[in-house]
Amino acid sequence: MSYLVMEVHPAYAVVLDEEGRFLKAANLRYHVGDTVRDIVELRCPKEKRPALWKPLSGVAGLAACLCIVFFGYYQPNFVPYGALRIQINPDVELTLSRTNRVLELEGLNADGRVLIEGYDYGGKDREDVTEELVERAIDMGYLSGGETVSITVTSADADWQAREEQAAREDLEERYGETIVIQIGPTDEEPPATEVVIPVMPPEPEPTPEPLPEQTDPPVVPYDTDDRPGSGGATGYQDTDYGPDADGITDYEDTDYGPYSDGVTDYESHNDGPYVDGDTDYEDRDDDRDTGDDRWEDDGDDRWEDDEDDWDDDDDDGDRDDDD
Amino acid sequence: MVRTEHDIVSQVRSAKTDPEAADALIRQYMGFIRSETVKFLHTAPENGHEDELSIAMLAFYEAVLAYERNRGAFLPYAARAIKNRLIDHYRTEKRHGNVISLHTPLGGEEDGGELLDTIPDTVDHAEDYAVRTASRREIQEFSEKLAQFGLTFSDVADNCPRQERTFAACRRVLDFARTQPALLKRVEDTGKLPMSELSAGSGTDKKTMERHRKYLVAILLAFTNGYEIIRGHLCQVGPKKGGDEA
Repeated sequence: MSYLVMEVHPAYAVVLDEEGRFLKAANLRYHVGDTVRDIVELRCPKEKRPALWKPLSGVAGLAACLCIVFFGYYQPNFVPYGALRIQINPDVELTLSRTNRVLELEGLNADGRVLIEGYDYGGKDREDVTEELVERAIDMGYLSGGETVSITVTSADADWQAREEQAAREDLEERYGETIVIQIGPTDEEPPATEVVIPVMPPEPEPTPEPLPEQTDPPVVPYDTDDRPGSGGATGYQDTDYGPDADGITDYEDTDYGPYSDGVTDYESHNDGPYVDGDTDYEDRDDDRDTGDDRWEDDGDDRWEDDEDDWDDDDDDGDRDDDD
Repeated sequence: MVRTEHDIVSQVRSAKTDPEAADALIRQYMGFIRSETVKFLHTAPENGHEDELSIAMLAFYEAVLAYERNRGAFLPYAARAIKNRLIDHYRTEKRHGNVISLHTPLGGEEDGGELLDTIPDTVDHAEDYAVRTASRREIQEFSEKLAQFGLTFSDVADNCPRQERTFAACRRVLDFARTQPALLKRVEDTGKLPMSELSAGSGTDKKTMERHRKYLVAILLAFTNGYEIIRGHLCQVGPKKGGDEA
């Protein structure tokens, strides 16, 4: 490419290239009318660029600042992230932000509303508020030594929830651990829980009454057991008595004491034992006690023979033969 | 001192648009440009480094064009521009580094001839001089003709389309105008572009033509009668370019 020099200035020359462009280039001692080959072309400053992005950059910067403020400061501090419920007798719920700031304090029952009345939670964190509320509860007489404070944390974030529960319990235990009992999870939640369940699932109420009779039965059943040994259950009862005379006292105590508290099943097993499974029980005892065999044979054989002659005889004979 | 600073900023601002003011500014700051070049070369530009001085002057002019007030004081800015431009120049020159200068002294003697002297001089100097004088005269005429319409070559160069697509559009205008001598005559007489005819004939947007009006006037004038040397220079590529366009 050759260039025709059209005009010369001290710092530059205007040259015409072969395609018809007029260019400014370094004036390397050119004269007008020269035809030159290699030129050092002028670099034109680009001016329009800044004008385009300058206003946009301001907007973008502002948006970035707002994002930082929102996600870095506002969201962790002012957006509810979970709730912490304290149940003493007063029932209060703290709405917490991610950074443990207390955003809202609400009494869930009448005592709770009394407890938080006039209490300023503004700007305090979870630790301060829980401690001060427990302190207040003690001062107002809701909480005394040995009673239970239960803490429930709910949040969509399971990790955060577990962490908060742990931290809240540790904080309270550190401060009040000697006087009160801190418990994680709801204390009296179950009645409301069943109340909640009943309307939701209609079939549920029927199963729930059933457990209740079972729980009321145990007091009745022991009397029955007392009655049964006295009247008709003499066989079973005496058998167990006779058995333990050797070394079965523990068995008797267990079985007797069992039924009073929760031994319905035990008792039933004993009831079932004599009637159905009792044979195997006796077999076991027979097997175990070699020395008592004789006595058992004398006493038990007759009676058992009366009940089940063939079976007992065969078993006794066979076992003894095997054992011997 | 403050006043000097203010002066140079206003001088630079006027030099941005006025080529004569730019020339004056460059002449005024020739010492500064020279000193910056010497700082880079560590020798006087006269010792075979005239090109570097020219490039430093070009860099100073570029700095004048690109300077904004928020870029700091002008002279440090210009000094940096000169230095960067010289570094760039050296990097491009390095690509053909295994080239020996024609001015390399022959042998070791101080006053011996140069390599240039050993090359047979095949150029007809008289012929060359005649051609150069003729073309100079023609360019002078062309320049005067442009001056009638208030144009200088600097204006035309500033107005020249830089984007390839825009340049091709202007080229289409030229190709169309060359087929219409009447239109060229009108341009020669009035210095005004017959916009609607050219736009309709070449398919180039009127707005594009308006934006490059000065350049189009100059290039169309070059194809009127009387500028054979310039046209000859352009026509070296002209037909091929025309083939590309079609």
